[in-house]
Amino acid sequence: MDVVGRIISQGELLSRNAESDIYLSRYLGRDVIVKKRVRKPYRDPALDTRLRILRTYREANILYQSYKNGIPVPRLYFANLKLTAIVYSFIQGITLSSYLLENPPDNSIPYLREMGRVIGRLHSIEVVHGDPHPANFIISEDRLFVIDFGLAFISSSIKDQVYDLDVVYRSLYSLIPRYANSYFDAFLNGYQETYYNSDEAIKLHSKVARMGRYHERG
Amino acid sequence: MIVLGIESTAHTFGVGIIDDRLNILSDVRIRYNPPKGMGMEPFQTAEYHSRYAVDVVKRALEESGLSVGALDAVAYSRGPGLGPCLRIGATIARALALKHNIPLYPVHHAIGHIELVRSMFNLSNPLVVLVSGGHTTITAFRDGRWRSYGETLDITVGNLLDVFAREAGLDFPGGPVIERLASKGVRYIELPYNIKGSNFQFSGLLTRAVQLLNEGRYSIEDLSYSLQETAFSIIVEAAERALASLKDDIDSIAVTGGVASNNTLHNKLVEMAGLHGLRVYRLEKKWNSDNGIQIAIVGLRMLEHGIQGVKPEEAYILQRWRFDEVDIPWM
Repeated sequence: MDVVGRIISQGELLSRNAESDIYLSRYLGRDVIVKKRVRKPYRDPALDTRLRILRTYREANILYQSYKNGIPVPRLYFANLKLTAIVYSFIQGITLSSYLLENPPDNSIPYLREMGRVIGRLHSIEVVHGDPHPANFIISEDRLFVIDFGLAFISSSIKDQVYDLDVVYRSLYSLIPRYANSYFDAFLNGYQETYYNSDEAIKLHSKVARMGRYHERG
Repeated sequence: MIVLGIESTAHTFGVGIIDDRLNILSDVRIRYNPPKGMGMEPFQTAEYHSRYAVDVVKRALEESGLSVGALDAVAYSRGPGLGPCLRIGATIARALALKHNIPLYPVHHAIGHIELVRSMFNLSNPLVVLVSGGHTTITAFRDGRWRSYGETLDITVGNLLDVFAREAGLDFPGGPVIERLASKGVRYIELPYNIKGSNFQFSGLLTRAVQLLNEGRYSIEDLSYSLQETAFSIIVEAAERALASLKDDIDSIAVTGGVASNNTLHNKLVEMAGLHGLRVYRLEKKWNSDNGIQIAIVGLRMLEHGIQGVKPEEAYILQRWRFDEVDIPWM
């Protein structure tokens, strides 16, 4: 058995996510996470295999690029395309979404600004996260890490970056409708601090922000 | 309490009458089928509706054995939909309300689909997968409204199937024909699979599928199979992601809208739901398609809840109207 297989077999199943099983295991004396993309019975096997391999490869690559550029992401140890599994460092902490639900705006705003900075830095290196929901941010010893690059892709297109902004906007709106607008503004403030092209992205977002059907388009 | 509902957002003009014990007293509808190779042209569709509308209302009353005087309210589909078609339904609803002096309720078409499946199965906290020609959305009820937890950013799945069918010279609506062909498909052909966060897109998939169709390299059966596989896997994956983000709150999955009648999609949803220990609820085929009852049932909820109707002169239509802008005080 190769090393990734061994790490999985020594691990403990933490959760079953929408597309993967997450294990907590140990590697060289450290806590590590194994994310193994599992077969979905509802998908054609050819489509399923193609999606899992592509997403595993892409996630590993992007995780490594982001880490190398000093962005707070988990550190990648292994990628195994045959097992469609990756191994990366475990970030201990609480998710930003649970923090936002339990804390007043005064405490939350600084984290939203930091969330904006992190996404801005990703966009600077042409990484679109694909699912920057607050549940994919972890507060760990006062630092904010971004995790789950399962839907991330490389793109320098402003249009693609605007999708990230839109996911943030929509997820804040469905998480805490009451504060969504002010939280999103704080997010954009941070975003502007770290991304040179942020003005263009924000401008385009406010124009197409309301993508989806049946929005009034002024 | 007895409510008459008028549906006229697109191809179907339907009138349904329901009482407060959810007995369906009548359901009459007509459907405009565009000429082969063509789409639904709004004015032609509306002209068709206008020819039969009064007759449909009369037949619905006859079927119920009631006189107009027995109605407690009239509800109509205010939107979203084709303007000329919406106006036919709104005009008739206004006339009925005005003449018989009963409350007039404007209803969101999608809320109708959702409320009907929710009420008929008495679901308390479902994840609703709404798949039709007008909507493709994963929604759940939170903070007084049905909120979107994933939706198409461009065309709907109904659109996708209809346009592909049209390009292939198949009948309208495309869904049933494609499902039949797909059942004979044996090979998965690679097609664009676009999920962006919790949302998704179908237009790239449509373009590529039509391109491959025109190239003539693949059989229509394999293409239909691959088109369905790709589109439905995207919807089911989006639903599974929504489920993961909502976690324990959700106690069932409901699927509704015209495309809900597709068994391939239903089976995929059942398989996914099984992974999470949930059941999938689906109404009988005819209640997934557009009908007057879906409008009547929302009117009934508004009446029961003591909501004021609109004045006939303010009974507008809204071609663009999002279901997550509608307050639902009765839940």
